[in-house]
Amino acid sequence: MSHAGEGLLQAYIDGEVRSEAEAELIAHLDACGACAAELQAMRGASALFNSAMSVMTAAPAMVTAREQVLRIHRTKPAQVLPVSGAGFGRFAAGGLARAAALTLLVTGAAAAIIPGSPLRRWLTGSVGSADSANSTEVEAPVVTPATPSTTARRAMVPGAELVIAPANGSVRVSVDATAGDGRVTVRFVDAARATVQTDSSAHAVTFRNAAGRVDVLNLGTSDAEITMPRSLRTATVVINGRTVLVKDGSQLRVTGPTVANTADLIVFRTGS
Amino acid sequence: MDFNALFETLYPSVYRYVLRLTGDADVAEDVAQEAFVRLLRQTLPDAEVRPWLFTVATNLVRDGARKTERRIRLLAGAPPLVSRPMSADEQVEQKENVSAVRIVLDQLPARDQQLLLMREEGFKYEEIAKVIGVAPASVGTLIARALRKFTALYEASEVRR
Repeated sequence: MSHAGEGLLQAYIDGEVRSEAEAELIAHLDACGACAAELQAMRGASALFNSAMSVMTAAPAMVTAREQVLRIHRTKPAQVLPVSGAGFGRFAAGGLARAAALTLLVTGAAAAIIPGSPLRRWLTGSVGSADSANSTEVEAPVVTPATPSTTARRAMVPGAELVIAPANGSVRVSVDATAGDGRVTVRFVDAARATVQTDSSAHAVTFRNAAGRVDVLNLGTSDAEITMPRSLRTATVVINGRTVLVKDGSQLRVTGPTVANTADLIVFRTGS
Repeated sequence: MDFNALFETLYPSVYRYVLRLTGDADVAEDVAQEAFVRLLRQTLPDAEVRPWLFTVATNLVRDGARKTERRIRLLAGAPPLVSRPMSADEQVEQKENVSAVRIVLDQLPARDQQLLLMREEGFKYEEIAKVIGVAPASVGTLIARALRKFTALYEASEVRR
């Protein structure tokens, strides 16, 4: 046998060589000092890597993680799977959807009279604003029963949620946050309307919306989650005045720094 | 195997893999949980679950890593990644060690990182080949070369320290 290749030696170290080939290799190593020395060096490299990795370990919080996974699975199936009549499916066209929307509007109106409620703050914040004055159409935000985030690194405690009807197939969400560790998660889902949800820790948050647009003000260092219908013609997300995401037809451009970025899920950190 | 059993068996491994890949415990938690949420919506043979989870986790991480920011944070001193109580001196040493390893790992090509970390989690060559998208026969060579690069970079960083 000629000298053993590095791939074979590595496979030998990793227990990946079949027994007959292994016997032949061992016989060769007994006779070939060069290959034996090479094997020794490669074992050293493996040991060094194992040792280096041993400092980078941590035990995850298993119980919390499992509960979070199961809760997400139970409560947000429509965000990943096609609409099946639950969740965002209630906004599908038809009388049932209108009835549901009306119910939610009533819920929103009730929430608006609660001192300190996000909707009340939104109403206060929107009166007399330049954006609302220039709007061609203002749709009242709808506060829906809160659901947990699927992407928060800690369990996101839902605060307010707004539902935004697209205007001419477009939705724009602008977020005003302060430096910190907050995150904005954007998901593309099978739904008719966009939503913006903020963490309950966002005590000072206010919302301002117009047709196809919502401005999230004073998010602070808290998290927010945005869902956008996949069917949108255009979608724009702006964080602290910087456009970080643009969907134009089937093209998706992510122009801001991300923590995670897949076809359906983009996570931005607001603190930079 | 039912979900709870799969979770108990595989979640720590996926979490650790992403933690090592990104150096960010928050991202590791997010990504590992998201991978398992997606697993609940899949019907897979038991043998394919682990490669599938690691593929999903890798895809979630890929292109999402903010390497520059991460490096800055690591240089500033990342939080310790072990949970047992340590003395102040041990904590300082631990931070330095973690930072040094992360900096070296970050200098490797993404595929090399993935290869080495999957191997570290006990994947067989055939599974690694499937996830990485290479021939099983080439995995040994790729690992050997990746280890050589890691060793050279690590030793160089030791000299600098």
